[in-house]
Amino acid sequence: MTLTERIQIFFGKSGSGSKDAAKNRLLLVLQDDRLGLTGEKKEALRKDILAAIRKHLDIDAEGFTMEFMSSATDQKEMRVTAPVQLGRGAVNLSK
Amino acid sequence: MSGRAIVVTSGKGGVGKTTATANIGLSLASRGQKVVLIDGDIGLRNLDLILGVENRVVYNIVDVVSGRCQPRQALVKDKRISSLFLIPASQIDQKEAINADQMRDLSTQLKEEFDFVLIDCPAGIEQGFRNAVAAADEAIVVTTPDVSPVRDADRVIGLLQGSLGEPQLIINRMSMAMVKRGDMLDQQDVLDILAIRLLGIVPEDEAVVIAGNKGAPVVLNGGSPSGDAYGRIARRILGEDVPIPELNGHSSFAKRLGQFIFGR
Repeated sequence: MTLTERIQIFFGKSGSGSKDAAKNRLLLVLQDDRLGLTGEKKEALRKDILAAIRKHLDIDAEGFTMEFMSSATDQKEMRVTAPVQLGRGAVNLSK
Repeated sequence: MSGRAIVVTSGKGGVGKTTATANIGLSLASRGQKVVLIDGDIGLRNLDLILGVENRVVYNIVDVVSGRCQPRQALVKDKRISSLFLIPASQIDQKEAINADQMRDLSTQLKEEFDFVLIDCPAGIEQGFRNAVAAADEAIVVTTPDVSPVRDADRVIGLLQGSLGEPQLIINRMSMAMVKRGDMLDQQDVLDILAIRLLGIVPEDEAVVIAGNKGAPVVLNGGSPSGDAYGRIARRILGEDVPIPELNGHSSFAKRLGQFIFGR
């Protein structure tokens, strides 16, 4: 047994730990299942949010993506992140 | 007398519903309960085979509900435990040969005579599932610690909550070695995800395959880890407070320290 393996066992880890991937993927997919949040609905939401932001801010529409994340500790909580790229106009203004 | 009608369901096929139904039924019967098992999987009859009574099947559930025979005539009596009976599924009919009302009536009738009516639900969430659930007052959901059975179990739990209230969970085929390596969801992970009551954990066990081969479910031969697990599950169903052994695979600090120092 190598030292690394011994250290891993000491900290309670020895395999590839793929169960964390299973748990995270399940929490995410089940959140969508429970909410009835289909890919189509997500896309409609993405477009609405993009339109809402663009009413107030000059942002790049091309790369606008939204990520839905579940909380591992609280299944009643969902996080939606949508990083925005500032549009050309906004960037030029700041210069 | 009015017995308890319990449906054993899962959504996903192949997770051990039929094996669980047979073992829980035998276990309850061996504890003095009068038990009837109903094979709800019309068209894909299997509970008779798992119980090892396939050669004594004469009538089936479709014969009963269509009035071709009396319920009594369709009951196959177990030769090992005299208080266990089976109503087999039909192998040639379609799921639609029975409706939910007929299943409910049959179950009501059987509850007059039996302490437990256990219904082995077919996989899926279509007509066969609805029929099996209609016949029940309580539900047991079986899953294995894998992504697709857990997802399907969640769907089934959602469907059951509308009609039967909160089901209880059996986690089947738990491999201690894989849990220990962090390569299998442990009991806490599955409970975090599904958020229902745990009825029991059944370890992965070669004895189940051998039992299937012989038509002699594991609870009949004492000493197998899975058979013992089903025995504990039956006792919990009967209201006994039987602790669920920690099968989460985490070894103690002292053990890990030993492995760290001595390398084994």
